[in-house]
Amino acid sequence: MTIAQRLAGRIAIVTGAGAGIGRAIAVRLSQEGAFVACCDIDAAAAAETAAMLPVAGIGIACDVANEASVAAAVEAVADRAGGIDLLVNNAGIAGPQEPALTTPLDGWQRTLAVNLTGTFLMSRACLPSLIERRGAIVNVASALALVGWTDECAYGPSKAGVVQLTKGMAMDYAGRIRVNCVCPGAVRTPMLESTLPADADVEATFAEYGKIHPLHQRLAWPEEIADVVLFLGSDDASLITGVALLADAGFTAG
Amino acid sequence: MSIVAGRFAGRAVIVVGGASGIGAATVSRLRAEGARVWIADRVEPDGGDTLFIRGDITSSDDVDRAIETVEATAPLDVLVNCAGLPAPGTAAETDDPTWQRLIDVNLSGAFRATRAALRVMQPRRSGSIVHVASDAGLVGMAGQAAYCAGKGGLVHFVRAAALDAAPHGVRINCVAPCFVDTPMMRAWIAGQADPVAARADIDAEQPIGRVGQPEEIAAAIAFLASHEANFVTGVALPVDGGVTAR
Ligand SMILES: NC(=O)c1ccc[n+]([C@@H]2O[C@H](COP(=O)([O-])OP(=O)(O)OC[C@H]3O[C@@H](n4cnc5c(N)ncnc54)[C@H](O)[C@@H]3O)[C@@H](O)[C@H]2O)c1
Repeated sequence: MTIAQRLAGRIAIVTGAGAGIGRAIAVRLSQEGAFVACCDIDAAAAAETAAMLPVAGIGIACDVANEASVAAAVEAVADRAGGIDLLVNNAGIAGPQEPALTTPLDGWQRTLAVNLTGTFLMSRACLPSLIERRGAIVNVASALALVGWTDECAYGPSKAGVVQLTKGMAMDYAGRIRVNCVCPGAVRTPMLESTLPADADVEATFAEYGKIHPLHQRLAWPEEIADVVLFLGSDDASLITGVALLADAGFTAG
Repeated sequence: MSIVAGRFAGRAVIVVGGASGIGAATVSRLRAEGARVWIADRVEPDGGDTLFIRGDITSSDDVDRAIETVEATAPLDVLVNCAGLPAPGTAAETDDPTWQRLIDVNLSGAFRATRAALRVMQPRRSGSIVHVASDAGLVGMAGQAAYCAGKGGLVHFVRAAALDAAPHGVRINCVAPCFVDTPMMRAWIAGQADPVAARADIDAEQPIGRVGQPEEIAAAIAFLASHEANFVTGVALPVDGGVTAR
């Protein structure tokens, strides 16, 4: 089988690469020839993903919500690999599964800090290198950035912010770098599992949950989202910037 | 551009409006990735083509026959519809024949092609359909009343048709390109009072400082048509250098 190498020689950073969608993205980019720096707040998980890559990469401990941690991680990648061609801002947390009335302030703030501020901090740190190398940013937002949903008081706004940050950066750096985001529907990952009540029957709940997707009638696999990130990060998306691409099997089409 | 070797190996594809511009670029791209691609168009591509089917998208008979022609050889996996025409003019100055012709080709044509493809794809529970809409289908544009209506209608038709086709395992999406350097754009520029200035103005109006190339639209169409977009349906993907992001 011919393995297409769409990112041969490129240097990529994937945040939140220790699990779920981020791990699938890291593996997918590596399959296409990229050197992938796997960043995660969980250092062991980052290293575990790095060890799975078909092309050599590295694992780095990094809290995207912490300015100093971000600076150190980006510097480590630049030192090791020489620059950055592709930044995938995937790190995210589900936050409190609550409506506004019962959402605690610290839960609200942490959700905004990781999902939105983290995307800003990582982008800002990588921009000089990305601009120099005419690179690209792909953010992982969510379909819940675009539609209202119950008990997502902090998560929804954090992801709506990511969509708008995507468009703003696309305008600021138009013609130099491309900035896009993918808006997945519900994806089968540790994060999604963490939103279930402790006593839930995981399989039964996920089977029911999957029905929000008119197509396939199941949850997405992380690999299905990774394919979309690969496209947006590749030269095949050379004319695409400022876009929020839905990968939600028709969830928000209706 | 990065040809993905073998991504469409063994696939049967029809590109309606495949004789020129974005359609022709899509034919080349999908053939390079291993697909067997039929071209349905009113006019034959330059130099001819062994898989050419002559037909007009305003005729349901022609459209149905084109799909049957492919099916006689291979089960259709992908329909790409690039057929479209421009119709500049404000609402106040657009006459009935101009409006009706635009809707008949750009909107009703997309419906006819979708219907014909779904008839063969749905029973097999597989297939992918990609239409070429426009950024004019996502935002209003001055002096393009009929064109915006047709493309906006197409974007919304894609959403509704995608929901209907979802339980049958068929995906339907569209791309929304900005100005693309094709015969359609060149004809429009040639019709302006000062064509050279018009071309420079168009480039300057784009956030990225240039119009698109047909190959860039074809690359996005190839993605949406492929298994790599398995969780993507009912979307309008702007391929527009940021025009609709602002
Ligand atoms: N799972 C879904 O249904 C779904 C749907 C839409 C969008 N998303 C988004 O996809 C992205 C990935 O989600 P997932 O489901 O794979 O989650 P996950 O919890 O399975 O994995 C997320 C990873 O991010 C890491 N992380 C968390 N906080 C971090 C921080 N401050 N700095 C660095 N790393 C951090 C975690 O350690 C973990 O390894 C998130 O942005 C999420 O919001 C998920």
